[in-house]
Amino acid sequence: MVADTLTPDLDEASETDIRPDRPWICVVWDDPVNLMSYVTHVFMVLFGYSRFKATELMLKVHTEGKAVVSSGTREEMERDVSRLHEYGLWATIQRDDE
Amino acid sequence: MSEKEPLIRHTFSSQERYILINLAEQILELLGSPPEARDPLHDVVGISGSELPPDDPVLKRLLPSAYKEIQDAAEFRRYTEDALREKKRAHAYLIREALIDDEGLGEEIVQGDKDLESTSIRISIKSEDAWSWLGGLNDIRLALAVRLEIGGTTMGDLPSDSHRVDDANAAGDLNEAQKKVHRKFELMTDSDPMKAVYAVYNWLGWLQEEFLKQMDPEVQSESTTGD
Repeated sequence: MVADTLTPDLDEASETDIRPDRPWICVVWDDPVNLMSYVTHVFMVLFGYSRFKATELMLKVHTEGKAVVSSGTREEMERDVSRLHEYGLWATIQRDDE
Repeated sequence: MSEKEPLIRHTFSSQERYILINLAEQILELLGSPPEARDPLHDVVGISGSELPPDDPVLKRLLPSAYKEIQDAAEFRRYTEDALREKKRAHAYLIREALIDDEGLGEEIVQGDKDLESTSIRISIKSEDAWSWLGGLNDIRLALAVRLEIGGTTMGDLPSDSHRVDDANAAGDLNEAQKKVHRKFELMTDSDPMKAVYAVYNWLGWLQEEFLKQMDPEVQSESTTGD
């Protein structure tokens, strides 16, 4: 059974996965004022997300009360939050493991 | 921010023009003038000085805390609040200037006396200014919403993790809440000043979507606004 020896052990492979070094996240919170179309466009323009992804995130904020819109270093998240605040979205930064 | 050559044209009636100039000026006043007599060293290192969230509920919503932890929020605010205020001032100022139109960039449509209150104006918004308009209009909507108590009195407070997340019917309740707000203002008598404020708030939402539609033909209207 030669094939067996060549097949990588999937369990072992997944254990060696390194968690991406993205320990901070930017969360957008729902509010009853910002229009859905506006929020979607802010996500598209600020983050370069596709209309589909931006709409999905907007709906998550709308239905679940919040959504993680980006992740990265603390500095990157602080920049994202500042830009979201500039355009009136309600955003906060936190560690990914909270 | 810029998208593919968005260009917006819109005609403001004399009354709309007057109202929007007034609201932009209120935002400018609320945000305060740029700090001048400040230690130049602070500018060098980018420290603004203020650590606490503003007391004014509108400012609290316009300049929200970036962290739940008080210390982190204070530190971040100290370094960034001035810049955020400045950006928001710039948005409001741009709207005000375009509508006052001292430079004659818009097409004024004079009816009767040529003063601001009887002159409508057709504005062209360049692509690079489109997002300043959208952000500025949004700030005014947020400010009006706080005054109208849309979303209760907690807007701008730090959100908690339990915020609506546990509610299985969150979306349905939210739409219901919006309808309730709408009914509340509809039932007011026409003499109630809050009814007029609500009308302006709705108009600004409509205007924002109108601009988005001109920038992006794929935008569809929301059923909850603009009626």
